[in-house]
Parts: sequence; C-alpha cells; structure tokens
Amino acid sequence: MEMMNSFVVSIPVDESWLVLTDLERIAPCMPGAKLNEVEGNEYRGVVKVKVGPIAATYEGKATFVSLDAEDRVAVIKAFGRDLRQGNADAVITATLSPNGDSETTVDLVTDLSLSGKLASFGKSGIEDVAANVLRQFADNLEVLLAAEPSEVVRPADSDQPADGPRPIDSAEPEPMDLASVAMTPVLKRALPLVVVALVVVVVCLGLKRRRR
Amino acid sequence: MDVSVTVNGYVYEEAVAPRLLLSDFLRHTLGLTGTHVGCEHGVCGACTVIVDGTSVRSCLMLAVQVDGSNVRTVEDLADGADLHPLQSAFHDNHALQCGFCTPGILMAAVDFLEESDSPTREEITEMLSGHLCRCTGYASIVESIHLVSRREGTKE
Amino acid sequence: MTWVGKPLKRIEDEALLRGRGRFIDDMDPVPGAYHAAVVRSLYASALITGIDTSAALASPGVLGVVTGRDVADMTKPFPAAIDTPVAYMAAAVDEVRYAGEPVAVVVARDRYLAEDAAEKVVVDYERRTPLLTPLDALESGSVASDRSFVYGDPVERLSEADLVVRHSFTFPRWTGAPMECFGVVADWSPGEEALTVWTNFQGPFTLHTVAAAALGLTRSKLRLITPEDSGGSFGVKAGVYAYVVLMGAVSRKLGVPVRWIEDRLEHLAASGASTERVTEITAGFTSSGELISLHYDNVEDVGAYVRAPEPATLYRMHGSLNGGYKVRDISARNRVVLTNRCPTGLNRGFGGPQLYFALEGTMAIAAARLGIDPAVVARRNLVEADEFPYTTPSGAIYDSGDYPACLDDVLTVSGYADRRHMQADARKEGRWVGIGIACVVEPSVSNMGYISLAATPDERAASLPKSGNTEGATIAMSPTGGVVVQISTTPQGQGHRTVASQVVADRLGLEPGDIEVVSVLDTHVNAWSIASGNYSSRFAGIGSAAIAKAATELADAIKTLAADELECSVEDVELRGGKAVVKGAPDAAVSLRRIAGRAHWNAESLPAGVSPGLRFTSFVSAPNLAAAADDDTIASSAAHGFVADVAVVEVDRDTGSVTILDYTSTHDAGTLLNPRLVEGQISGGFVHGAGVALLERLVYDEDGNLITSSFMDYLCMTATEVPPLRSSHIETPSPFTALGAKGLGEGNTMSTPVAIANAVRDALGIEKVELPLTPPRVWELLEAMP
Repeated sequence: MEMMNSFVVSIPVDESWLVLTDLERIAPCMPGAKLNEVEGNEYRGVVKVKVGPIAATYEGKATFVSLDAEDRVAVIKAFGRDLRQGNADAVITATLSPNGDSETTVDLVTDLSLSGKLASFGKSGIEDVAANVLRQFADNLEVLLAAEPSEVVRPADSDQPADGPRPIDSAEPEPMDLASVAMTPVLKRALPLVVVALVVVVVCLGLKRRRR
Repeated sequence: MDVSVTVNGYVYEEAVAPRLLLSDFLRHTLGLTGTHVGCEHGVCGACTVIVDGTSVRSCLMLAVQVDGSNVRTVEDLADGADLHPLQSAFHDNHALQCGFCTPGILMAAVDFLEESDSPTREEITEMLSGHLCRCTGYASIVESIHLVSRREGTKE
Repeated sequence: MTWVGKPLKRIEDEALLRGRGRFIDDMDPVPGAYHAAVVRSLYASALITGIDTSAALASPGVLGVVTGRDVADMTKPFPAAIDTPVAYMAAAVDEVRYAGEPVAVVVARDRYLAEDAAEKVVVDYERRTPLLTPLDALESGSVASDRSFVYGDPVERLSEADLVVRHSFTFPRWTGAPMECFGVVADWSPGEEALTVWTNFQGPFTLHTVAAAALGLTRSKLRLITPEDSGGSFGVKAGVYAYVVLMGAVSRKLGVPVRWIEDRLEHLAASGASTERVTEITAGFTSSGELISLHYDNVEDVGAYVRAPEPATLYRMHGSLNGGYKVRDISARNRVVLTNRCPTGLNRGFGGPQLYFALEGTMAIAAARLGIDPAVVARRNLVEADEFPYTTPSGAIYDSGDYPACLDDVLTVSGYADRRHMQADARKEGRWVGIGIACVVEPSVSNMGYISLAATPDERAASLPKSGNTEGATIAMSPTGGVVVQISTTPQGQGHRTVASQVVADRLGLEPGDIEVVSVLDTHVNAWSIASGNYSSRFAGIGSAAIAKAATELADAIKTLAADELECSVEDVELRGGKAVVKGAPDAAVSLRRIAGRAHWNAESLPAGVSPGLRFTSFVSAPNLAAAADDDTIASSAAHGFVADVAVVEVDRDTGSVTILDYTSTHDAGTLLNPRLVEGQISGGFVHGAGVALLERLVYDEDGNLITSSFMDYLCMTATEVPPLRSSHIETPSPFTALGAKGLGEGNTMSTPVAIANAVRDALGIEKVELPLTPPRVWELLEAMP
C-alpha cells in the first residue's frame, strides 16, 4: 500500500536538510523511538509502543537506496520486525521543498508492505494513525528547534570506520502510547498499527545525511 | 493465582496462571468440555457461558476474573434425564446439526429468555446474530427459542 | 419399510445438547501428549534464508522445535493426480509459497507455552513477488495442467447460432469455515515404526493413502481414528491430512505424543479454500433460445500447490458440463494454475458453484438478449422426463428425474407469474427488483475415477484404472439381541447415525431406538475403503446402501435361524416387533433375543449357511461408474438430483445493498430418507450459497496476505442476514442407489449463488456481476451503469 504524508518545519529548507539528516539529534522527537547503532549504511533502532496494558518493542533497520542533496530527495528502504505481530517492509521517498523563505515542506511517499497480523488487522486505520504519529513528531521537532535553534551538531563528519557497528548512547524513550495518538474507533485494533512507528523511525533514519 | 469459583453448583478451588482463559479453565482444568471454542476472538459465540447471571464469551475472560463468581455451563441445563425446555425444543425442531455452536447458543438463549418476557422473532434473531452456526441456516434455532418463549415448547 | 422416509428426530442430539459431545479437543486419547504450535510463513512468496530456533528452545516448557528441514528429512512430497512443478511437503523447507504456510513446529508442555515459544522462532526471508490471481498466474506460465475436451462438434454448431454469448465469469475464493477447526493428536511408536493419529478428518480415505505415502509408511502402519463428533466441515476437513503428516513427523522426531488444535486465524489463512475459477464461456443459441453449442475456457487457481485431491474441483462436475440441458456439442479447456495463496480443496458444492455460476449466468444473459423469459429458455433446453437414464455428452448417466416438472413446481410455488407483475409495478415506482432463476443438476456419490481425467488417455493407460465408489459397514447382534452398527461415513453433523438406525430398524423389524450406531472410524477396525468418508453427498446414495446391505445379511441369517426354529421355510419368515414371525401365522414366532442367544451360545446347533457370531461386514459400490473412457467421457457420479430455484431481490440504489425478498427452491433428491434432516441440509446449504452470493470471500492484499483473517473480517451469514426460504420437493427415486436416494446437501450451494446473481442482473439490467454482491461492489456496478 502507498501512503502519502507531509508536514511543515519552521526553518528554511537548507537548514531543514541539515537538521533532518542529523538522525541522532532528531531521533528523540519520534515518540517511542531509540536509535541503537549504525553500521556502514545500516541504521538500527527500536520503537516501544503501548496500548493500554500491552507493550511491544519493534526492531527496525534501514538502509539508503539513494540520497540526492541537490534536489533534497532521499529514498530509504526499511525493515521492521515484531515476532508477535509480523514484519513491515517500506520504501520511503522523502522530498524537502521550500515553503516560503522561512519554512520547509516535507513530503513523504511510503510504499509499505506488511505481513502477519499487521497485514490482517492493521490496514484499515493505518493512515489515520500514521498522520497522528507524524504530527506528534513534527510538534516535537518544533520544540527541539525552538530550544536549540539553527546550530547543527553533527557527529564526526569524516567517514566512520567500516568495521563493526558504532553504538549510539541515547536515553531510553518513553513508549509511544498509541491510546494518545490513535483514533478511538481504531483503538480496539490498534496494537498492530504500531507499524506506523516503524515508518516514522525510518523517516528519521533515512534522512541521515551519510552517503555511500 | 488461587481462584474460588462456583461452577454448576460445585465449588472449585484452583490455582491458575493469571493468563489462563476462562474457556480453557472450564474445558481443560475442570473437564467441562461442553463449552466449545470456535474463534478465540469473541465473534462466534460458541464459548458463551453464564457468569453471575449474565451471558459472557468465556474466550474473552480470564479464569482469575471469575474468582468468587457463579458460573453456569451447558452441562448444568438438563435436570438429570430431563432436558431443559430449550434443549427439548432444539431437539424437536432440528435446531442443531454438528452441535459445536449449540452449547453457546443455548446459554445465550437461557440468559436472553430470563431477561425478555415475550420476545418477538426479530428480537430473537437479533440476539442470535451474535452467534455463528454454519450448519442449520438459523431458522430452526429462531423457531425453537420462539416456541420456548411462548411456553409452547413441544416438549414431549 | 416403515422407518425410512419418516422425519425421525436425531439420536445424535441428546449428547450434543447436554455438552457431552466428543469432539477432538474434548478427547485425551494419549496421556501426556505435548502441545504443538505452528510457526507460519509471513510472506506469500519468499526464500527462507535462515531459521533461528535458539530463543524458542530456551523458552520455558519447550521440548523441541521441528523445522521444515527436519520434516523433509522424515517425509516425502504428497502425491497428487497430476505431476506438478512444485513439490508439496507438510512444511516449507527453502521456500514459502503462501502466507500461513507451516515453517516450523514448536512443542511444549502446554499450548500457552508453545505459542510463547513459537513467537521466538526467528525466520529470515528474502521476499519475492507473489502471483495472486488466476490470470496473473496464467500469464506467468504457472500452469500445472492444461487439458482440452471436445464432445460433438461445438465449432460447427456455433456457426449455426443466431446468438453467441461470450462472457467471462469469476467465482471467488471462499470457504466452509466450520465452527470447529482442525485437530490432530499424533502418537509415533518407535520400534514399531507406526503412527496412530486421532483427528477430525472427514475423508475421502484416498487421502489416508496419500498421507501414508508422504510419511513413507505402508497403509497398515498409519492408524487414523476419528472422534464420534466433528464440528462441521463442509469439505474443508479433508485438508487435515497434511497436518496428520506434519504432526506425525513431529511426534516421530521428538519421541512424544503431540497434540495440535488449530485456531481460527490459522484455519482461515491456511486450512484450505475453494478454488477461484475464471471461466470464459462461448455459447451459441438459436433465436428461440435453444442452446446448441457450449465452450468453457476454465482457469482454475488451486493455490500454492496441487494438493490432493486437486485438481478434483475442476473435474467433479465433468460429466455435467451440460447442466440439466440437452445441448450435445460441448468443449472445455481446463487449465490449472498455481498462485501464492493457500492451497485449495473440498468445499461444499465442490466445483458446482463454479460451473453453474458460468452456465446459469450464460442462460440468463442469453434470455435477456433474446428478450425471452428465462424460465421459458430453461424449459426449452431441459432434458425431458422420458429421456432418463440420460447419458450426457461428457459421459454422466443421469439416473432419474423430471426436470421440467421440477421447474414447473418452483414456478408455481414461487408464484413466478405474479412475481413478474409485481416486479413491473415496482419498476414503475423506481424500485430495482429482479428475479433470478437457476436450474442445476446436483451430482452425488462421486466416481473415484473422475480425477484421472486430468491425465491424458495415454497417461491414464499407464496406471491402474480407477472406478466405482466402494463403501463398507459392519453390523453385529449381541448374545442378547442388541444391535450395533459401525459406519465409515465420518459424519460432521448430517445425522448419519439417525438415518442408519432407520435403515437397520426396517430390515430387522426393530425400532430405531433399539439400534446403536457408532460413527467413530478407526482404520484398523472399521470396514472402509479408499472412497469412504463424507463428501460428494455420498451418504444418502452409497453410505446408506452399505448399511442396508449389512443389515440385510444379518436379517437373512436371523431368518434362516428362525425358519430352523419354527420349522418353516426362510421365505415365510418376517422380522417385526423384535421377533421373527411366520407370515400369516402371528402366533408362530421366536424372539430375536432367543435367536441371538442360540447363534452365540449354541454354535454346534447352527443350520447350514449360518456362521456363528452374527457379525456382518458388507461392501457396496454403485453401478454404472466405469473408469474414464478413451474418448474422455466419465460417469462422474452415481446419482443426480435436480434443483430449480427462483430468487427475488431488490437492490437499494442509494446503498447498493441487496435484499432477498423471496427465495424458493424445489429439489428432486429421489427418495427422502428422513425429511427432517433433508430440510436441515437444504436450509444449511442455502445459507452457505447465499453467503458467497452476498458476503463471503477470502480477500488477499497486494502482497498476498489474507486480510479476511478473522471472523471480524470474514463475514459469515448471521441470523439477521438469512433470507427467507421456501422449499418444495418432487421425488423420482434413483434406480442406481439402493434406497433410491440422492444427495441433496450441496444443491443450493450450487444454485443459490447464481440465482441471486441472475436476480441482480435482472434488477439492474446488466450482465457483468461478481460475487459476493456486497454493497460496495454493487455500488461499483451502479456507478458503471449508463
């Protein structure tokens, strides 16, 4: 299935490109997400989710397909797995474009394949939930930008050593509480919808600026 | 966890895992296999039992939730050799074939008839819509419940 | 004959109503059995690149994990009637071909722990693009079988036609969805190298042979035992044999008895389904509506593997390509394609719903184009009453019938003429009311040889010819005169035990309540053969015949003993009221109890021709079921009932919902053995047929995941959706079955989907209709209308 989403970031497009590709900085904006390590071109993280009393942890990884700094288009392939709920595969195309002089529009096209219970139960409400999760992410990003305007801190810009993963030390996230982001009518089926979280993780991961 | 529950008039004191479903508790812990499990997601109604006077889906309840409760299952309906009027009506009207859904429907109907004075066919059909039966086509079940509700069950 | 034909209440009910039924999950046949949970493929098509079982093995209570590779080391591919490009194993090894396919089995102390551990088995896949529709599979060359048949000269006749109807029909995937899912308890005996399995299998017992072959066992080393009760099947439980092999291998590998009870999600995703069939029809009619040429181009999706008995769905109706009509010039091209969906199998109607959706749809389209009432077109083409037995172009021998009388009856009972007036009035008010007709021949008691038509005559010549449909039964009289009957018809709710008691009571002069009937089938004990089981509506035609024959043999022995006792000739003895009585001399009588006592206690005294023990096993096979002939004709079934239906529907133009205003069905099922059970079968078959017409369909997404995977999404008919049904009967006894009876439980599953479709065609004045006619789909039809 294909999903289209967009959100606006209140900084100019050149700056957005730098911020949004600074994965380690923006990962905490994603509700429930934690980036664990990066190895070569592959980024690995988890998303913690809870619905009422039930909690689940999704493992995700993502790799670049292409990244075009000139046109500001990134294409990312992502995979997420929860052994109970099933797998999610996604190809995400993110395009940044100026929205006036001071803002940036981020357009996402997600080609999503789900399997297992995710596929069986998760589809009907997934777009609503995706939109909600994304809005929450964008809100968090605004807060981050307000607190730490413009200064972009990057990890060592030189190529990192290719041998072995580089662990990333970040705080344990609060689980994303789907009860707060999902529409009520879909709540009874909401647990499998956490795949959406993976999609957004992928957005974060994918916009990482690293180039092969 | 310890559970003390009255089932069909007998008191059971059992230690159960917190996640044990009521349906599995009845069937496998107590050996009351008349309650059947058809979907485990609360749609088909085969597992319906009566807890404290209300019909419930035993696949959607945990055994620990009936601690201190009174549970009735299909095994409790007949009085020795005498069938319950609903059971007799089902027999008389060929309202069961494979019989897998029947215990759940009987228990729901028992609860329903205790709550409703003289239900219409439409009300019976509405009640029955919470139960799946793949054999009979339902008409004979509606007929049976209707007959009993009018106290004209053709019990012989 | 006094009990057969009476609407007797069922002897099955007492236990079932009290919650004392004995279904597979109620039984604990092997103490200490471990519980199995199946790890299933997440993808419709993928390579398995790795399986990590370490976390599962470390999970609490786990005894072991058996992977597809382990299973393959102990088993062989399942044989099927045709060679297939893809071997079908009980579990996937390197490649998965449908979402839900078994990949590994986790065995633990209880089911909860087994399911916990199953979630810890990590399987890595390399995804591939799945094939998900019959036509995509055809285009990709995923064809397992391609056969063409020509009877008469349909090409020449087509050139003479005034009207040619070319139309493509698609019959959807759906399933019987019995309330009880599959269950298997497998117990491997090391040393003996033998397997005993308790399972709610329904036959055909050809599949016992298939399972034994996959396990590498001779048939005598695979003992199958069915429980007394089975919670419905509608064909689906034939497919449980694959799990007999899987759990047998698991029990063998781990050295413990293993219990597996399928859950509903597994059942809907992976137990089986009907075939999806795309049929391109080319039919020639005269201007007066006579059907003179008929061509089928069938593309049959059997799913990921050719799972025995497939491609039987395509051939079960092969003798009846003409339906109930006189058309003699017919051709058919049958292509079997493999997709990446769950393998198909038996499902109520088995090929009939698919065939008639195309044939009867074509008749309705032709009538509309010719401007002739569809009832008139049907009547013009039906085989006449004086033509029976009628041999069809493709070889079926229609045993008996009066099709025109049946059609006339349903037209009368439904008030067809008045309905047409009402329809005209409704249309004036702007209401979309439509009337649909369907006439179907309902074959029953299948010939074991029909599947061999999937092979060419040359290929068939290389193997043993297959014919007939053998069934057995055993009857015994105890030393005190009690009667116990063992049947091998594995009932799933049809009431075989009741009818068996009626058949036997008539022959022994007893009451049905005197007869104990045991429906447990133990392949080491019962009288069974490869055709045994419960499918193709074979109980009424052949199951009852085996019981009747065994009972007659017992009755003959009793009469011989009584004649000896009463010093009269055997011909003068009749059995009634628990006694053997001399005809015309009611005082000259001896009780069955005394005769039974003598047979058991005083063997030395027995007259010639009577063996001690009073236990008789009889086998029968219906006549006129020869092997497939070199000209590709086959008498595919022994008996042929007839069903004529009239459906009246209204389509709501605002919501697209279809309401059935009236439904009338007239059956000719020969002699009715128990009218009460007959009505139950018709009512149930009707609701199944209405289900696929209005609600039921297995829906897959673009990745091949089943999205109707629970009862929240796979919508079965509930009490509120069931339309009103009136049924009516005429009886033309079959000359080919012992009691004159024919099957009748599948007829409405064949007729009702197309009758409703034709009514919607009529209401909207359109030709293209797809099932199920859900409101969104009807809405699409409305949108497409000019």
